[in-house]
Amino acid sequence: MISEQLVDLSRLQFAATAMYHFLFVPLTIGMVWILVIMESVYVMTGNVIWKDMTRFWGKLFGINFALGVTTGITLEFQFGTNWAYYSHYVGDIFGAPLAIEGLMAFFLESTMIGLFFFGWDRLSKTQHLMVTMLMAIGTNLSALWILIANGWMQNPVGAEFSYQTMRMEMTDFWAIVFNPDAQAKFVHTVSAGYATGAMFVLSISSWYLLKKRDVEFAKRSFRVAAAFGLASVLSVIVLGDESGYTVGEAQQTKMAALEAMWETKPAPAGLTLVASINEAEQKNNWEVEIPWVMGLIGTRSISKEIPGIHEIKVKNRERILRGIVAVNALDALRANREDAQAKQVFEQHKTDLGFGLLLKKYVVNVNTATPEIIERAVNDTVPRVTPMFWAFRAMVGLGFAMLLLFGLAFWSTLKSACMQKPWLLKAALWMLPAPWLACELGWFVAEYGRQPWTIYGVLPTHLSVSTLSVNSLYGSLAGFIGFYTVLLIVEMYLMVKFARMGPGSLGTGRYDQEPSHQSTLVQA
Amino acid sequence: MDLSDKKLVNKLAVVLVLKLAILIGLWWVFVRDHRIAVDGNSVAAQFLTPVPTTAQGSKP
Repeated sequence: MISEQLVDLSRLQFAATAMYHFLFVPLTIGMVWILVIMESVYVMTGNVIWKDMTRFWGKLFGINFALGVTTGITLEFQFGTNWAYYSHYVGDIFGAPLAIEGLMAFFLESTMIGLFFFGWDRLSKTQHLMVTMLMAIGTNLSALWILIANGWMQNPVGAEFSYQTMRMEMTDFWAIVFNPDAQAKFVHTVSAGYATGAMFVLSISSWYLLKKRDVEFAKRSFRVAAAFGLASVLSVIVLGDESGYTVGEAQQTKMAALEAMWETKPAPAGLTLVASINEAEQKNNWEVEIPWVMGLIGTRSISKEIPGIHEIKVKNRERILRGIVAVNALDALRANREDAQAKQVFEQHKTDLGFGLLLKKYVVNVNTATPEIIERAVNDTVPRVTPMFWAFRAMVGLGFAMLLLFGLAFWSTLKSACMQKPWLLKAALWMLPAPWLACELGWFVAEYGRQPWTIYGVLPTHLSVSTLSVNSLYGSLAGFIGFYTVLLIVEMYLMVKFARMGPGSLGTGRYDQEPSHQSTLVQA
Repeated sequence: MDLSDKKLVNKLAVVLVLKLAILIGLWWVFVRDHRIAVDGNSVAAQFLTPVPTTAQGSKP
């Protein structure tokens, strides 16, 4: 059996590097469209302040990209180094979108980023704008393919297990591409990225306005960020609702855990706002509920029930028992590929193979599993409720707080009154970390909520890891943490330094904080 | 950021080179010697029952 310590360390290493990687990603995804907006206005109006805005915010975008690039590659390497059994089992499917992402999207994005930074004096205005647009498309395509891969982990469609090769094999590429989970995840995640980019520009612009420096530059940046941010947060909320619906369809355990729904409630189920969760007794001591809302989000109907944790566990116990039959039939088939009866039994039970494999966490031979061990495996099929419940609510709370902020910012900029509301500018400044926190919490809900599976319902996490030594994992984990901490310090140092310098760092002579400052700012 | 930002470009170039060097170092120290050959047979050995149980396999 695989040691639990090895599994936990492998998970910790992947989680730490993935969460670190996602500090950079949403800012890249969001800021690139803000650059497209700013440069489009420059091309349409010829007003040079919009070019300066594109160049200045592009500089901060460039710092973020340079520090963030390669932090994603370590994740892909980990599939081979730490998750070798996973890679063999699902590599045929999972590898395809990752390869397409590298060949199509990342190369496009990287090439266009080079042209964006070094093409200002070599390309015409329109050509440069095209480059910026292609950079944005490449960045978002990159996110699309990664989220198609992740969506398949949540809802493994378009694939079938082969007992001959002992791996999942692709049966329908387009089913994987148009997997509803992947599509909902993509639009929700990129919208969150747009909100992150908008918050970044809004916060720093607010700081300039509070300091009363580079006011015209900051006001325009504030206006773009407020409008883009408001549209983005509204999209995040609407598309998050769609994501909730797809989770309700494909991952009932995740839905039940994040709602702390122990019992199946009559349709349409209410949304639990807050609750005192009692994991030991598997109930809520008390809860505050809004009637109907969960049923409408999770099922899009008023008559369909959302199963509670207890009901799900009863079903999963049956699936584990059928899974034992599937494992035995697979054993027989591996011994004799021509065993027609074993083949028939396996075909009848193969959808539950993964559930039988859950027992391998506790026993070498699944046939020796006692009722107590089966009960432990059943309990494993639902992630811990408390972290899921509160992480989800913290994410949603941050989303609505950002909606309020962007709404107020947009309203104030419509009235040209943002300078008269220092409290709003201060709120925008202090809200800077909010989208990052929301994004990380969202990923926690998505990935922790998928446990105990790496591929939902197909491959248990504990069977996915490589047989590495624990010491090797401790060493590489310490190396990554040390290295990434240094990188984060460098990122923060460069970001703060250039944000403080402001557009004066462009050296145009038109802004504050530069020796050759002249009041030649072009008025709109 | 453009060609006039020579200091920033230099800093970022140094960071990128260091990043690649450290990543290669981490791989060299912790990963290089840990070759893991995974194929259908090793997955079967890891996932399935150690001794084949054909009689049980045909039970519905």
